[in-house]
Amino acid sequence: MTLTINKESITQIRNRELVPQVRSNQSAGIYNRLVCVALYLGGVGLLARSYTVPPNSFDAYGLFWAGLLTAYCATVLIAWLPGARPLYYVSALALLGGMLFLPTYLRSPDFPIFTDELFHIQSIESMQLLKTSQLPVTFYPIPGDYPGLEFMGLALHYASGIPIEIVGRLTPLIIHILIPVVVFYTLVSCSLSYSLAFIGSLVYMSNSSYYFFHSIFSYETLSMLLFLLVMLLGFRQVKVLSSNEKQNSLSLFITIAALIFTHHISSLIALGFLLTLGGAAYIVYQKIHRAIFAAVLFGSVLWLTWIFFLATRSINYLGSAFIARLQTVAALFKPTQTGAKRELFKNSSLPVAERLLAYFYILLLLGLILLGLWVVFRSYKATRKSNLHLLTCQLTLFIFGPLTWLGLGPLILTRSSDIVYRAWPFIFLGIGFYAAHAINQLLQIKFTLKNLPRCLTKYITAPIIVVLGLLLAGGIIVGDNQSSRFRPAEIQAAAGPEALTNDLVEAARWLNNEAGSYNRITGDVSSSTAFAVFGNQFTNIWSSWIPYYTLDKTKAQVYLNEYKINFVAVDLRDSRYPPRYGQYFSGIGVSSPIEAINMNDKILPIENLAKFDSMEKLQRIFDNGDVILYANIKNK
Amino acid sequence: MMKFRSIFNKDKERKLALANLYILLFSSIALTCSVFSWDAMGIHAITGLFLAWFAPGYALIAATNPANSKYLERFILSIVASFIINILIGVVFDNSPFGFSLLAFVWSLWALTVFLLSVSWIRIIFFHSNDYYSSVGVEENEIVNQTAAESISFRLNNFAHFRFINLANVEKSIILLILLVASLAWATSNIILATETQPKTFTTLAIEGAQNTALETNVKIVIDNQERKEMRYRLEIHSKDKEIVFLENTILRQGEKRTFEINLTDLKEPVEAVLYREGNEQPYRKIDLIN
Repeated sequence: MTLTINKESITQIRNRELVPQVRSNQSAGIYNRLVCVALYLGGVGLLARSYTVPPNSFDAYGLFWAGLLTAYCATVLIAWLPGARPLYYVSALALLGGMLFLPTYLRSPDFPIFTDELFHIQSIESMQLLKTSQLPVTFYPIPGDYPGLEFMGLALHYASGIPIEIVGRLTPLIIHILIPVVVFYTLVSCSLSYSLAFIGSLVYMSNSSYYFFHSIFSYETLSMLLFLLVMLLGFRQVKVLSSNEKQNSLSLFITIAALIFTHHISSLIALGFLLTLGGAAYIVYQKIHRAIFAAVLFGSVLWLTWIFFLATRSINYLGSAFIARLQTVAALFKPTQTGAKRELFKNSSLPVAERLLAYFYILLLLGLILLGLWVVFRSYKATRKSNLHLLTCQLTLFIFGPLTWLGLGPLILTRSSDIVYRAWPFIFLGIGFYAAHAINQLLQIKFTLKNLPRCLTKYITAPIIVVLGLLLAGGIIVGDNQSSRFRPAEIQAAAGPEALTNDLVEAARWLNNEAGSYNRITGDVSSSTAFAVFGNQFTNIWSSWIPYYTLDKTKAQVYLNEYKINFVAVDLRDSRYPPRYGQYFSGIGVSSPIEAINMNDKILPIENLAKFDSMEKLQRIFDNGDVILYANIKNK
Repeated sequence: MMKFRSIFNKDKERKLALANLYILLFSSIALTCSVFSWDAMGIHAITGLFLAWFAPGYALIAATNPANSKYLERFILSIVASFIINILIGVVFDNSPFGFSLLAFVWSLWALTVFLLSVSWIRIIFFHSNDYYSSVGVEENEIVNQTAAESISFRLNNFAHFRFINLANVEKSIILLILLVASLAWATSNIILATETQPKTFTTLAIEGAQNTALETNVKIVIDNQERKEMRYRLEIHSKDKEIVFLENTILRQGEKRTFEINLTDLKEPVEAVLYREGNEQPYRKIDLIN
């Protein structure tokens, strides 16, 4: 008998050596995983404890990261201990997602403080009261125009009797848990193994929007889940071109419909994704997938119908937002730049180490993406021969992933950085896909570096876990809560989420009790939000900054009379703290007079606010320290 | 090709049919609780959560893919599909002459669940064929060790295979139970502690009714103590010449409100009301009575 040894068989032997043995003692795996669950709960406890010690202290940061690290390691162990099954991967992702929701809740457990969240809570309460989605505008310009989130919450409230306040917390928690799980299944549908799909899901969770922005009761949160579901269903639809199986496309159509009723931009991006997927499938298979293109057509017609016949207020809203974005991008090329910008760590209390990690996170992502691209392109020919579905997914996720990420990358350093961060959730699944390939390549280093000492190859997996952990940490830091991670004893900035304190909320409720609803009130951003949401007043006043940025009492009174203002809200904290987002008032844009523009980022002088006391037509009717209300006698 | 089958011929179909029955049962209980506002021991909340956020999605997946037995994936996607159904029901009713309401929602959810489960049963019984056993998706029982990434679990085994495994099962279970209970208690207690906030303290001085007092003869002034302690206040009403025309000392407990009804015509030219804290001569709060 002749033993033939060639290169191929040597590779097979090497591969076979590294295929783990399935342990017959499955109960040991379950026991070990339950120990990891206990470890996870320990991490959650540490994380929660960080909110009981003095905020922004060394203890607070230490407990926060210790808790995160413990829980992260526990979830990774749950997934990767021997005997891995999809259940364990899914459980690990769900547990990690649930834990990452906790800081957002603990930051403001009494009531939500983030503006977008408050708008939707007001919408759902109003819809419950008025039994319609045609809601009057108070501050948010398009309440009820995209009522998907509200209907989902109302269904739970009606069916279970759970109060709206709890529904407003439970909904984002469930969605936050489901997002990485749906990402996992989507990556598996792209022909990745479970382990690589798990890695890709962890990378997805490191996108800057997942940690905080998709932890709030907002239509973007639900729309992201539905967008990911569209991706999952789309990839499965395309798979039938290879397998000739029947795949019901009804679910894709109704998902698109639900997404259109939930969020405007996300549904457009979903249609763009399906178009890209259909195009990629055509390039690879030389066949047209009718269901996908039919879904695009259906979605387009429905989107236009919805916005032109049912959500007509959104036309102006989206139009002005689009124009503002274009102006901001165009302003890049002007010598003097105007308008507010959201800097990455503006008015932030984060330690220097965390900020450095955030910058390192971008570089780490870039490295993984480039390595992943190299891995995929290197194996292009083999993939083309063996797995056309995988090739289709690679092509689609290259466009909805690294290509877009690299293309938008330079904008991070400009005033248009929020466009970049808003786009990341849509393209991070593609980034996770390629990053998973990169990490798989790194794990195969032991095959290629023959002379590498065994001690290094034995522990090469540990750095991978560290890399994933660093990515996750970077995403948390970059996308951290805009009103600061912990509850400060004293706020650091005015006219922002952290300025929505209980005294302001009480003032809003008082006015609603005493003067009824839908009075016209002018105030800074946080006052406008509070009086609209908690007081049901109309605060969406054009150029509301005018009476505050002048010492001329006549000019101020003329404005108040012209815009039929009933009450003036003054927050004295505007004269003590800088504005969270660069401006105290909404509506100051590139078209505003120079005097307003020059006020950007500067603390409002106390004289500007004190002048209201000496205006004859204003009566000071409410004072609780920082919040003062004036009644405009002429318009009462 | 149509095949008439009893649903109990195959184990998989039997399980699916039984699962559908349980779904229907719980949905009906939820409907009853919602319609009659019956809430004992939190049953309404639990069954309502089931009816709103699980049952209709499960029924939809069962109807469109009746023989798919990938339980975990079906469970996850049922929740997301339920969200979609909630949205569609809401939009349909909102744009109909009926509008949406509690009854409309819960009856629709239940009716849709029943309808879709019926479709699922019909497809299992009458239209069974191999086409419905879709392999697109994930098999829960598969243990995958196909790529080098699986070597992670191989290496982690070095950390995971403790002496723990040498204990008897009963001892292991006891230790594990204690560990889980202790860690759960640790996590829960810390979360509860973390939700206890220290709201900002303040005192409010306001005119009740937010009225234009120039037109009034009587005015009600409200003081609300939210300082988290008992406070002593002094309320003064000044005239144009800063002369005190009204003076009242008061003590308020935490959370207490007091209203002072003042006849303005009895006072000499009242202009403003000023509130002082005991022991402090700086004005604490101020409102205008007449402008």
